[in-house]
Amino acid sequence: MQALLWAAACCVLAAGANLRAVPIWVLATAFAAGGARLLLARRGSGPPPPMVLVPVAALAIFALLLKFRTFNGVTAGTALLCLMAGLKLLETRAPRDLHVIVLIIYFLCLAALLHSESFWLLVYVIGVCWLATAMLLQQTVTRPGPTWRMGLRHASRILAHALPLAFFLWLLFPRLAEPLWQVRDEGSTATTGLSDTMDPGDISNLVLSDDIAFRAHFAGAVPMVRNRYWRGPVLEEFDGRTWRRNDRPAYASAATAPPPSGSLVYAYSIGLEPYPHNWIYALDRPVRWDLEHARLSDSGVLERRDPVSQPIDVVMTSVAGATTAGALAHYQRARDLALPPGRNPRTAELARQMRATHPDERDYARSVLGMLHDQAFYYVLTPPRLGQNSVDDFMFESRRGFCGHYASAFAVMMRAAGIPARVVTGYLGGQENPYGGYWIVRQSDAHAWVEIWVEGSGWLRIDPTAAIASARVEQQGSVDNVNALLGIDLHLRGSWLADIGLRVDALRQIWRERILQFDQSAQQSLLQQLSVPLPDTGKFALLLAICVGSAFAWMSWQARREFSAPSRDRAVRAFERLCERLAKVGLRRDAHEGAEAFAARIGLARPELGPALRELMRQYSELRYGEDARDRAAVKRLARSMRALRLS
Amino acid sequence: MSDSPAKVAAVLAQLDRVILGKGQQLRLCLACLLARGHLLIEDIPGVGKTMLAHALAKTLGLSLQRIQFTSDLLPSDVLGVSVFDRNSGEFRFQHGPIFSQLVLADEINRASPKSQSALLEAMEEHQVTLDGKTMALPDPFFVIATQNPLDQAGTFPLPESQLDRFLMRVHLGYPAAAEERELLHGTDRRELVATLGAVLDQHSLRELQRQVLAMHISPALLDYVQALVAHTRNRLDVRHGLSPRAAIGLVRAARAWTLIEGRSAVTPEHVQAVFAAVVEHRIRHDAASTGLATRLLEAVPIP
Repeated sequence: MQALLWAAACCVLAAGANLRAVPIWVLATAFAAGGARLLLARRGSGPPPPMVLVPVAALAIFALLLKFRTFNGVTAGTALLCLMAGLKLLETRAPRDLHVIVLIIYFLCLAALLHSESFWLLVYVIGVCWLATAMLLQQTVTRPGPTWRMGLRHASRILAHALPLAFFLWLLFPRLAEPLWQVRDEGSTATTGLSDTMDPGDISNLVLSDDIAFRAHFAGAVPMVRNRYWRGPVLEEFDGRTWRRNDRPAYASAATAPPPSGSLVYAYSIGLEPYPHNWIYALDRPVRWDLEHARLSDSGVLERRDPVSQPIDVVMTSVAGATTAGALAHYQRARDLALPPGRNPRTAELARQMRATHPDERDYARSVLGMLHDQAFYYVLTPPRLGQNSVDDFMFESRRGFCGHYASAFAVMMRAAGIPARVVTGYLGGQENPYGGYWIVRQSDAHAWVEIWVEGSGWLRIDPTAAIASARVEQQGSVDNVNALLGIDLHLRGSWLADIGLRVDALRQIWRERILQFDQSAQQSLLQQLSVPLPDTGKFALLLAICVGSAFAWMSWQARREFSAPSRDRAVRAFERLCERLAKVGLRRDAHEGAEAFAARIGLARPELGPALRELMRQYSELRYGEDARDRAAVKRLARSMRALRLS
Repeated sequence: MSDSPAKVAAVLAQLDRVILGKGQQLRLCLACLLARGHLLIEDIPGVGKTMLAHALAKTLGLSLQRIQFTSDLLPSDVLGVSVFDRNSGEFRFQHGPIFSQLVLADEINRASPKSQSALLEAMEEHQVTLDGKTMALPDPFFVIATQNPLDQAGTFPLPESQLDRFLMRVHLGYPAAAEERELLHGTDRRELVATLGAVLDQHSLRELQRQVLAMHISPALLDYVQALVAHTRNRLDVRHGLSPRAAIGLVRAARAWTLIEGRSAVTPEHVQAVFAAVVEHRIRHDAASTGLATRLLEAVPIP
């Protein structure tokens, strides 16, 4: 009962590691099966009969097949394992079943690590393995029946012994450039983050989230917080209310222009957390990157072929300023000037009036910013709802909004005045982690701004939100981008809790850089530094097989030695051999007959054998039951004289 | 230590002179005594039970008291009674027959359960409590109880729980023809017993009892004992398997047997030698139990 309880607890913990990957009904079925077994055990009965078990198992597996259509793949496999754990619990009868359950638990732990590479998950999984190992020990070591505490201690010792081997394998095991199997992401889990559309009000949800978007390491100069605009999706299509990213981006020629001499260059690496889109956040205009299947779109955004479904690190170089040399392509100009006809008429009218007095594009933009600054525009995170003509409503009615509203309104003002403009969403600023020497950019740093095309200068970044008078910024909570807008660079958020958070994050960053990103090239360079010859896969496999084989041989030899005391064993073997020889001449020992009684009986039938045999059997009895049972020399002598005894 | 085989041999030789042809039973009785157990003899009258008790007492230098159990026997007849002494004006405890080193309780199944249990409790505790006073019994304290298996009318057979208090039960049985002839021909046994001298003093008896506990028990032997005990618990023709107390008694008796054999380590043969005497009365006490111990032994291989 107790063992069953432990097994069930370990199963629940192992399933917990896979909580997000397994459909809820599978977990429910598994829990119900395990719970039913526990209830039965509490009532003192065994598992249900096969005529119940078989249909239940068949039904559950059929349902699984119906849902996934396959048992291949990580998610289906994990679900199957979870189901198996529950069903196995249900039919648990003998210790052997518990061994199988422990095996399933190990597999579940492994499956959990295929889903996520988080450090905490690893710690959790090691904990689960520890408990499962203790349970296995409890089940296998039958003789003195160790207590749970002893079992746990023994299990930790075993796991500690495994550590050097794990480290050795991690260091030397040949890395594959491509993963052996594609871990498909069915139904991505990323929920927070920027999307490829922007409604008025979208970003306000985001700025309250503390989730980390990415971390950035600067190799050289760190841009001022005012200039730390991390560009994400560029939204260029507007329907009067919603801004969209154009879904058929053209890509700039693969050859990127070399950075113009004298311009400011930032070298940095960016560690992205997964999100279901293919753009890569970058400062200003990226000119170099070490990412496969990535191109620069005509909006100046680095885009990958596939979504960022795994955490990745990208080393990049960017040129400060959003400028692009040359002229704006015709189709781009048309796209960045388009406004939906008949929408936001009052804004269009205002733009025409203001443009009439400011023929120069920069002058016009400055006057619009001035208007935002001078008139009663407020920065609030909970603006009133806007109608279909959202920009008109905002400009003339509510005058309350945040970066999305201002960027949208400003871009419409520009386009209505004949200046190509686009809304850029991304992140602004970021928090420095002094313990790791890197910058953390959170979802709360999400921001939207505008880029306008100025003939001769190219794209200019304008942040209309920054134009609002600081007195009219409504502070709510700690909204970072407000501080960033005001030019305040936050290093620490003050409280010791945040401080601990930063330290933990620095540790996690080390985990990520040193452990997770230890790929083929990193391995090669490390081995070269250590001047260890690079093993090729075949040789390494051979070496590994030899090591594992000899380890197993040694262990089984040890176990043999431990489980059979050879001296006593030898005496018994010699005795049994003598008995076999006696049986061949018709003197058969009964199983319950003692050695000396046997000798006495033979002495009656074969008087000539009697004295010698009696003496031998007496010696045997003394050795087997006496105090000096481990006297190897005596055992050897006895075995020899037993062999030497002539029976005919 | 070294002279203990000689002492044991001398004791057995002297007993053998009195009780003829019962070497095995005599050894069992001696083993039972050396293992500090009590002995139950189940036999018809006239086969020498009393003689055996007298001979043992004489040979080992012990004081002997005999209690004839009858249906009107009272506990005070066994334990003793407080009597008012007119001269001193005080109550004086008159020791009962149980205050003796060797007690022969004849036909124990004739007495009422109350009197039986008075004896059996004294056997277990090695002390007597009367009128709130606790009195220790003499140190080598050994009870030989007899039961008459034939005459069961008006008796109170000892329940199995009480039988468990006896380490061994032996049958003396009829003497073989030759021995019986010598018995008929020879001198009167009573006179013979009267002439016997003590072979052991109490010190060397205690020393022997102590040596019994020093006999070596190997794990292999315990495997065998456990296999035997487990087997009795799994058999259908055994109503109740052996209790742990029975297993302990078995090991103790085997140790005493080892000492008598002059060996230092207990072997399966020693266990087998005492097995029937230790086990049979604990499993069943009817006539069908006679061959049972042998059948049990034959069913369990020596590991």
